[in-house]
Amino acid sequence: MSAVVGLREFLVLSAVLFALGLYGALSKKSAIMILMAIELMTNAVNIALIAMSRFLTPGLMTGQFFAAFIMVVSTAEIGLGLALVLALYRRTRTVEVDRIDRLKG
Amino acid sequence: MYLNAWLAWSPEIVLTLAWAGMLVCGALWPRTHPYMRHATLAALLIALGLAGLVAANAHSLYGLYFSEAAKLDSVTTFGRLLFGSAGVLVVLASWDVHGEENAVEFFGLFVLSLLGEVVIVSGQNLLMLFLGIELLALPTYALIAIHKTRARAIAAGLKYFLLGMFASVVMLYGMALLYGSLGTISYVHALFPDPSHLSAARLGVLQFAFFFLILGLGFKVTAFPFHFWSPDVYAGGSTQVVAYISTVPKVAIMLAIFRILGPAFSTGYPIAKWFLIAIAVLSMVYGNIVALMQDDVRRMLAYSGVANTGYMLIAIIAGGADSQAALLFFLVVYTFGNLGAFFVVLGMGEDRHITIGDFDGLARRYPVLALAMGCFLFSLAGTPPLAGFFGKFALFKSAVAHGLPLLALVGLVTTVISVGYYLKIASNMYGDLVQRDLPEGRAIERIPVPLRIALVLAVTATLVTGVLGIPLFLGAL
Repeated sequence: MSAVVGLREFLVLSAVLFALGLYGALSKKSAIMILMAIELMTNAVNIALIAMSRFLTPGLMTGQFFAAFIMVVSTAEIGLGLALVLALYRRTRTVEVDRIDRLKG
Repeated sequence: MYLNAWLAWSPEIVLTLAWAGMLVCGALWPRTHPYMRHATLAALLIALGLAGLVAANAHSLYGLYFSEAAKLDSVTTFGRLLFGSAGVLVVLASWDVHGEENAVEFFGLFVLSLLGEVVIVSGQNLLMLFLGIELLALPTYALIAIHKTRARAIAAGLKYFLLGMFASVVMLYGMALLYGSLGTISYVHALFPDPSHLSAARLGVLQFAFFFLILGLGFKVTAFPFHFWSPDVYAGGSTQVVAYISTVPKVAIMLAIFRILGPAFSTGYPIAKWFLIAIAVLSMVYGNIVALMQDDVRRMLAYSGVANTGYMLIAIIAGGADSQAALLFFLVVYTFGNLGAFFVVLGMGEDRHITIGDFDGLARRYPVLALAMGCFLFSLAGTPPLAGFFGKFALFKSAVAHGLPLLALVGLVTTVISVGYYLKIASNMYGDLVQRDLPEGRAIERIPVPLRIALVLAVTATLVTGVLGIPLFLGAL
């Protein structure tokens, strides 16, 4: 048993976080909770990218840059998502996705 | 080289400047709001002209740019011209709807999302693909939600947003795995290398990553298991936005998928290929059969879009230069046919659901509108004199040429099914020319002139592509 933390450990962490986020995104009712779960998945991807970049192509930094871009884009996404949630809440007083579905018409 | 880069990407620079200018002017001088549509139209026409000029100087301007991040070639030019023309049509269709209210937001977001599509098509690595998809998708989430009266539009926008983000993240995980197994994110020379150079473990990760990637991209192009959002979103948003998001983004991502997979894919990756074949077949079968059962025309067109995704995937699975030509041709046909059909629905009224019954006797009351709708429907269905026939013929031929006759057969059978629902509308429109006692469909308010122009342009495009398709068809015989 080696004490060194290697690529495998990071990828396992990433996979576990991704699975947790996946479970949250599929099971939660509130739009806010789904947003948070998706953020968790995004960060799992970032961990995987940075770990692979560090261990597989250490000189290139490709993964690090990819992760930096993902962080910027996901900030923009959250801004838009919260704006939509607020706009909907003002009209319907709910942020629950399955209740929104019933608002046909 | 620097000057060349400025010239080569001048259409995108013009659009970016137009977007920034609209944003600043809209914020500082509210009186400029009614002119946003003029500015967008002018910027799009200038960009189209510049794209044409760039294409005319292909020998000096085509190539790789920005450290091999973007490629300017005939496919990029094709994308620019197609997205630009589709953009002009959508702006004309939105002329009165978003003339004053929300004009800055609507047209600004619209221009941004067109830019995203060019990034997708010209991009040469996974990062560009991701950025392009987000630049395309984020504005469309907001565009769906922008609607004067309906809370349903915001609900549809939120739903589209949550599912779209979910799909993006899954796609990102696939991209991370692809990067891990290949050590690069560039697909200048196709992402999928010849598998004989890869170890079994890497090949395994690669195919696993492929599932994630296709799950994310399949969501955006409404391929079968990932299409479930489209009918609700299409029924919730305003019609001209739906016309836009059901065509142009799909075209852009299809072109990107074609670039990503590359020549080694169709022979070297059997599992991934069967996965794609399954998606294509299910999309065609499911989309067409469910479309047959719809009463709301926008929902019907949503399922018809699912089916058309299946047809496009045929060319991607077949691979090769002739399939690319078939795909490009079919994409043009689909864009104008689908945009046109949605514009007719828009012309029939924005405020409530348009059902198939609303088309009753349309030919007698509004003969020109009915003729236009007939033209789009028969083109989408693939009836011989119109463009759709040549598009589908080329697709099926490329499938047969690459040893996939069964796929072509499924396409053929489902095309016959699809004629059923396209004809249902046509027979409603023209039914009472034969039989006098049919019920009246709904009355239509005056159709605004810009929308009329958009319809005429879409009909012209459909007919012209049809005529251009004839030599392609004869050459193939």
